[in-house]
Amino acid sequence: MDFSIIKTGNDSKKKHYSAAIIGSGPAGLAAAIYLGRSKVETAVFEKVVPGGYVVNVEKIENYPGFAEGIAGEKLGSLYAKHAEKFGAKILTEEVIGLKLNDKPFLIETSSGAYSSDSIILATGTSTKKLGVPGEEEFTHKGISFCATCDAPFFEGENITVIGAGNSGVQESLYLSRFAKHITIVELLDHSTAEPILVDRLKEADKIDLLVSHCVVGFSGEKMLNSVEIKNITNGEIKKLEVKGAFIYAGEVPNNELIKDSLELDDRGFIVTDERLRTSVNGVFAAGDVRNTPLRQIATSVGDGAIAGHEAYKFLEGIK
Amino acid sequence: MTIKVYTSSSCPYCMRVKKFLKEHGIKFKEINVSRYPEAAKELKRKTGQTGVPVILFGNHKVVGFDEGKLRRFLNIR
Repeated sequence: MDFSIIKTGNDSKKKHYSAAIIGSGPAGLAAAIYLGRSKVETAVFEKVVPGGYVVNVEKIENYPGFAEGIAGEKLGSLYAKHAEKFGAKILTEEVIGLKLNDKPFLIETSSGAYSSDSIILATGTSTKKLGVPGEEEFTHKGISFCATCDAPFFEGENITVIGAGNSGVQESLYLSRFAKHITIVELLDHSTAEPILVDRLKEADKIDLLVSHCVVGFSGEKMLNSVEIKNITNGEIKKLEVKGAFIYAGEVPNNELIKDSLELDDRGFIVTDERLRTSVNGVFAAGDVRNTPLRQIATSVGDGAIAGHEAYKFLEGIK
Repeated sequence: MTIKVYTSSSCPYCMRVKKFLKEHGIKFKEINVSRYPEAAKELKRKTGQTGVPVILFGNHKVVGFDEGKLRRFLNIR
């Protein structure tokens, strides 16, 4: 990591910020709103588009204020505009390195290098891969991790969705508009989705739920043709003949940047106290990437508010 | 040479690819498979891909937002 090009001070191209937020999902942008209103010069780094994972969600129904639901893409865009209104600078640059052992903290991105007096990590989670044979080979050749992106490729086909949590059930309901039939494969003996989603699942005539099964492999020639599943109660293995598989079998924290510099829990989530402070003074964590009992948009927004407020207090303390 | 970008309506990486190409002044033809389901079938048949974004130009194919590959193939510094 080469941080030698960092300059601080009043350069024409600003490279130093009082607060840097890594990730522009609900947590990151809520923190940016609070910091902006506290008149803190804030940069938000985002590698894809503002909104984070929310942008992938077709319709969000459990976020207060939107009883009829709101498209994730729309909500993400509203968050970004709100943060920018109060002065946050959203930079579409992937952060590829962080140096947290000295102040100011140093940030290397795909386009340059920056420094900051405080950092809020809001990097979220990624869909957990199954780690079974054929998964890599058939990714984007039948296997997908984004229903709203790739559903049109499975018009009239038999497909499977792996995982019957909130995401798996919600995305299955969306995919049923395209697919001929969907088999949801769930490791547990029941769905862990919200009861309202489970009711909808029961009413959906194109979707079956197969519990107590796990995926042991993906097969095909050039493209996916079948998924091997195992009954975990009797060990029986059988094949599902499907052209598509959407994987929603849990999440892993996006912790690559900080896994060697911050305290993590046994699953790799960032450990924080109730004020969202991490093990490094001046570095905060908010949203899905931290060890929290619930990962929802509403809880991420709450985290963002706390982290933004705490970062402001931290900065005031050192000024 | 025409650059074709296959996208869908709610795909974050498709938005990122379009933003990147626009930032570098590169013209492209967008084909949205959500609006044109036949294009999804055509892409699947031609390339074996069941996901977007896919960027095609000449003999090159880039799947997803791969900034390094895009820079290299399009000669962007």
